[in-house]
Amino acid sequence: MATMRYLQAIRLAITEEMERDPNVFLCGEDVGQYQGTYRVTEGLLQKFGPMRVVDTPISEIGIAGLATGSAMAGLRPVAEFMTWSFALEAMDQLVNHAAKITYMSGGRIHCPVVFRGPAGVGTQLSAQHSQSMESWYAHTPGFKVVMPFTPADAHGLLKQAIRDDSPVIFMEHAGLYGTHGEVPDDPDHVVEFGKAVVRRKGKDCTLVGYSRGVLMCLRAAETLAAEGIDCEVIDLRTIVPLDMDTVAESVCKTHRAVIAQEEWRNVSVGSEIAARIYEMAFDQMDAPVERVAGADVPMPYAKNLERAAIPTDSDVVAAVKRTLA
Amino acid sequence: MAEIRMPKMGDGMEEGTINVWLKKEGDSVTAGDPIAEVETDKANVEISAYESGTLTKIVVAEGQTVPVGAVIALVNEPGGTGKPAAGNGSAPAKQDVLPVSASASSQATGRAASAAPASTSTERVKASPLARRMMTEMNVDAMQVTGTGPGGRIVERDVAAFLTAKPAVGVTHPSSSTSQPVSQGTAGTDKGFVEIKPTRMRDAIARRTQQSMQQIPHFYTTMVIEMDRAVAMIKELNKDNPDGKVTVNDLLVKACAIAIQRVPEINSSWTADNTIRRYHSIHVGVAVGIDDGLIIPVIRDCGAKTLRQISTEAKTLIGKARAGSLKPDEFSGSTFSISNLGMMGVDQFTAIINTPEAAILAVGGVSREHVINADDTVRIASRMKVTLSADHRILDGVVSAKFLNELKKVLEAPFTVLS
Repeated sequence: MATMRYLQAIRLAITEEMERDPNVFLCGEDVGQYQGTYRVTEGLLQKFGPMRVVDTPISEIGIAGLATGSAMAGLRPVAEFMTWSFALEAMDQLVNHAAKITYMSGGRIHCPVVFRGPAGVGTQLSAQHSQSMESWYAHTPGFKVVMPFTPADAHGLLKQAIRDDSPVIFMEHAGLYGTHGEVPDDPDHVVEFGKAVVRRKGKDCTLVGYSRGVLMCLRAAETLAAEGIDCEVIDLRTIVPLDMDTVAESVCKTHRAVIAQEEWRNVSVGSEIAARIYEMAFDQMDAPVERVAGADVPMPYAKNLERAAIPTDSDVVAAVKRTLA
Repeated sequence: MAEIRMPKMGDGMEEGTINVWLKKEGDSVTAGDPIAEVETDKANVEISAYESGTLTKIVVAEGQTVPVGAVIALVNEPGGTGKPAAGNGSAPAKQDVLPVSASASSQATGRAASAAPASTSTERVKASPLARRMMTEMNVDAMQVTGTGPGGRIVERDVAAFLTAKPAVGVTHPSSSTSQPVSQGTAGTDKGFVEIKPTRMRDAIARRTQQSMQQIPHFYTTMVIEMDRAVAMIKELNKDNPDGKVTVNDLLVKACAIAIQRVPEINSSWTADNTIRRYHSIHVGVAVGIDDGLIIPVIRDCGAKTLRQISTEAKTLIGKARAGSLKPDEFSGSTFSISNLGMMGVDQFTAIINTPEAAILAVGGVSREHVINADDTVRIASRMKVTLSADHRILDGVVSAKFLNELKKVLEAPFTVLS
């Protein structure tokens, strides 16, 4: 076990997979000479050379097209978007090509591509850069959608993503890049998709989160524990596939659920989980499922308005108390 | 084949108990004929057939409780194709008529249970899915459980509390209207205890008073009223009309109506939508103590009625209340209530607001007291203490005081009510 930062764990995963499989290559804006906007890809150009670490023009549709096409041809590209907000430029390549080609070719053509980059909301990055759009991809059949919370998961899930034959949407969180954690030394450490993990055991209320939402849940659970309220925290790890068995099992024990996410509330991951809880465990529920989510507005730039739009652990605390009212 | 269902008789009614069947299986019935007496939590009421034909099947046995809307009997219309359930018709009276057979009664329970969700009742009990499942599994009647969740929703802890509180008690309603000991316990040399299963009326009182005290911010204002002239006036009135005596209570009803006309804020409700509804008509409820409970018959439109009319109506209603034969519209819809314990030797007390009203007047007895006049001389007067319990969401102390002052004015100048 080595302790490292979330972004180092991502770098390690890419390095290990590039060493393991010569078909793996990296492409994106400023991933090579500039060493990555967030320094995630630092040292990789030096290590693997310009054939495998490709600096692209500023054209997301170009990056996505290059990655999708080369994946169809048998390579395993890891394409970086500087942020997931910029991927909106590439929607046609992503949704209409990468996600569909396996189905449209009757399973003859695979598209083992990983699209990765920072998602989540930031600090005063305003409406066009501060948003979390995982539901867009989770809504589209054909993608797997991965959102790690810990460095170990960032490592193990990214390695699994690169090895997976489906197109994978790998959403990192810029706000987690600097967080530390232990990462297994094993170069074959992978984290299976669709296996949520219980980060904290509890009996009074189930908190469901992913990515930085888990942090909200853990802090809220800490606060509530001081008041004698015992919360169970589940980290989903992957949105598609979604491990509802773990959620349902927990809810059957606690009879209450709060879902915490940074993305907008309307038609979101939280909406889906709430609906599935009702489908799977309706007569276990002692209170309506609560959703803690971003305000349904384009992210304001002004600090005070931004604060009001981003959910916090105190919102989770309040939601838990509503389920216990 | 027409189905006769448990009718909804009054706003609060969720279920009813068949006290007695007035018709047997095989009897012919005409639309409008009383066929059974039903006990609700407020009164015993006769229900009538609304189809003519033959009563072919009694589905719910005497003593059984079913929700509103559940089928209680079947009537075969003349010319109908259904066969009488009691047999081939040659000896209908010989068949198991009363009480119905065990299979029939268990079928009745089944029907009642499955009919419950489809009940025509608009006051569906709010319960969380978990609580609902627990109640089904433990055979707990949701009406018996007090919900403490948001909006009065029954949640897990309420069912758990109910089950812990009543481990030895059956969860079905008693079939009789009197309290019954349901279990006894002893502990060591202690003489032990007896557990009483509450009657339906007791249940209703428990639920409504608890709800009122928990949800309405009560406050209380007390006023002393001199009653010499009022008592004298009533004496005079009764001398002229010994057959229909007017009581202090009748006078109070009329005096309250006049005071409400002058302070109409009293005649209001706080609605579920958080608005204040002010009523144009003054319907005064008069609390009547009866065996193991109380009921509040309503004298309607007291503003428009004379003291004599009110007195006559009150007598009829109180008589019916004691006999348990009030009809639902005779004990619902009041906009203000009076509870009088004066005749029981009570000096003064506070009453719990009869929801959804804004206030209730608690009346003590008239007693002869020394009163110190403004010039420090002493005289003796007949005095009565009344206490208004008011809903502070609607009324403030000043309004409450205004009302009591108007009431005092009327009662201390009692001929006002005759003018």
